[in-house]
Amino acid sequence: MIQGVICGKGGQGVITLNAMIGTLAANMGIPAVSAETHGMAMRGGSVATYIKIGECLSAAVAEGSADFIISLTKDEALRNLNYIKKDGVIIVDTDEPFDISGVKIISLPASDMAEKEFGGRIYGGQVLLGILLGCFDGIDTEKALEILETAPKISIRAIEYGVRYAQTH
Amino acid sequence: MVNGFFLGNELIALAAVDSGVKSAYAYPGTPSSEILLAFSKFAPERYAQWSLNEKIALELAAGEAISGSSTLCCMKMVGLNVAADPLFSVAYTGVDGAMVLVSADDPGPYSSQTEQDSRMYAVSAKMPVLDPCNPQDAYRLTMLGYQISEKYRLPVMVRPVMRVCHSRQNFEAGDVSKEPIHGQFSKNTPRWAATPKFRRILHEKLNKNLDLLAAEMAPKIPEKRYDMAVVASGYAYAMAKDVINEMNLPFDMIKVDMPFPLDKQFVIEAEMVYDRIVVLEETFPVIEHNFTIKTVGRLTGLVPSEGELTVDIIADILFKTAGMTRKTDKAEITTSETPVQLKPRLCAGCGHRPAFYAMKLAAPSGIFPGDIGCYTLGVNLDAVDTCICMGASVTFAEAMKRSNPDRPVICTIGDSTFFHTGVAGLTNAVVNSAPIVVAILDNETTAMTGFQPVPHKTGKLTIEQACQGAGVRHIAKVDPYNLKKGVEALKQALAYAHTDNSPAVVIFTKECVTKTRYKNKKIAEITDACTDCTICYEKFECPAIYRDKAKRMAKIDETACVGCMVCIQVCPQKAIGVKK
Repeated sequence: MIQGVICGKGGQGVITLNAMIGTLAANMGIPAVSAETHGMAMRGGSVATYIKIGECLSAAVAEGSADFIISLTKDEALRNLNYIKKDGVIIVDTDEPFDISGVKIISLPASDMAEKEFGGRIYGGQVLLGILLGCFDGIDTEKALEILETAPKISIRAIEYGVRYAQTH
Repeated sequence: MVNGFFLGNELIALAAVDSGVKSAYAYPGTPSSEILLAFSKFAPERYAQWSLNEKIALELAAGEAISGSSTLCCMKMVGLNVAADPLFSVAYTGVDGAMVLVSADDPGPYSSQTEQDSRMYAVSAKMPVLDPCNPQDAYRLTMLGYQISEKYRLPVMVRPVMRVCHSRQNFEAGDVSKEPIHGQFSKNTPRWAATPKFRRILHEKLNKNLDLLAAEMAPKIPEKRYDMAVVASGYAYAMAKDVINEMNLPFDMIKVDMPFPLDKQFVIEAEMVYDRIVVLEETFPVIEHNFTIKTVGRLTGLVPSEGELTVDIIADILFKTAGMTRKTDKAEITTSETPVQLKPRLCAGCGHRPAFYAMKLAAPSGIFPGDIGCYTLGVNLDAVDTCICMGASVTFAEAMKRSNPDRPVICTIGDSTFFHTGVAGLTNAVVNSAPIVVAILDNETTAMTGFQPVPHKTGKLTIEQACQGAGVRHIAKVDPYNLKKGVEALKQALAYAHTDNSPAVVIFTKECVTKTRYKNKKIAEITDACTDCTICYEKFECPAIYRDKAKRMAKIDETACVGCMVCIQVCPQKAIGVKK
């Protein structure tokens, strides 16, 4: 079982990213459940989705049990720190230094990179997804990319970029 | 359809389509709003309606179901308060076709006024209720709901909580879609037009049906492995099952699909088999009330009586009951950084913001009753003083004015909310000579819940016509981006209300900013005349303006600014202009 938290601000594409990961799992034949927050949060508030990949009934991630956190802002990563477990990884989109210890952190200006490479900040999330695929032993990266072939080309390129980033850093 | 990753609300809609639903009715409300949209997506040829309010939606769904058709009706739990009148009555008459009422609850609450439990309404009205634990289960139980409804000719409630509505899960959709079930009305006065004498007979028949149904649906007691059991329904069941499996806790699990009516024999047997029973459910002790001394839960103080049940709360409860200590693999993190708190705000360029600002300028000592929608965020601008329920802005304005005759009262209500329950309150204010100003914030959509359509965009009626029909004689229409005109219109309306002793209406119309496509937009710019008075980003609270700490002045976020240019009118230093 892999458990994770995906977070950011309303409008940044948190829910899209979560749906992408779940669809990927579903198409790999792995059961997955995720939970989202809608409504008021959409107007610029904090958004977090929780996902469990494997045999389970709920998407509820307990404190200290997330294998990964993907955050589209530094603030939201900080707000969700209580979910990460000892050997988990936190992947953050930020251009600022991140003063933190006690857990593995991959922080990079993914949205800036995406704007430069793919012409849109919105692809920053896909870069982070690529990093997740690249650094996780539990996920068959090759197979994942094969399944994702039907997604828009630019998204695939952003994900591949992330996979390469994870392999080279 | 292929194997996909579906929202709980989508799978409820798919089950309705697969069960042969002919017509679906709803009023939007988080977390229920996506159901009707998904119904139309899966079956575009079938009838789907956004009704004006939940009472109307339920009556339409029931009316068709009494005619022998199969229908779906969806709302959030506070909407069920509005629909309570037909709910209780239709529970007695039953239906001739089939009907499922989905009432989505919001433990937390995340986007609601209360944490009420729709299942309590089901108990009170004597309507069977099913409580799904996740999206796949929501599909199964909605299908089952239609089977029960057809077999017993009763309306059935399905009660998903937000975590079921807004969870996604892998699901393989089959090819089971039933043709829509059309019926014909057959007259039966003692049933469909029952007088009190016949109501007693209907009630007796309903009670017998509920006993039969309870026995048919009795939860299964598993082969006993432990002395303790968890009896649970809904999302609490899904979380408890995961915790017990992952941590190997010594509990048998019993799932309750239908919390009401609950089979009495099941309760007696469960209490005979187990030494200790933990009942987990959201948000009221509906199942637990059936149990007695061996049972712990909300009634014994073990389960919190407010707030959402989280997996951590459930894990702590189960470990405590089992007499075990919970250990976690939580990372021990040290950091010097603290997150900045984000609060929801009206969008940059939202037409509601200058309307609120104009109200404060027109009536600095005013009382501002508010209503339900995006514009409840007028609290951030100190322009929303009360928020009770749909339509209560207008009635509260009448009441506040009567209690505070010396102060101006301006209430705000959105376009969708106005048609939902505002019109009746406005008519009452006219009839009872309330000198209030009703500001209708018209963004031409139901924005908060996902942009559902509004009545006046059909071209068949206007907001002015509805106000005239209610008897209002002073109606002004303004563009909120013109702050000066907005203030003038409100002052004139206040003067009219005062002299004529009657309500006046000001309609602020501006298309929802999220729907506007800006081409070659011009944006605002802060000049060196800025004295950092904080008005534009604090009092006016535009999210596209922030404080440049180094320069000690306001700064425009160029990607967020949509160029509404209201900040130019707000700035007392004339330090904002259009960027060349």
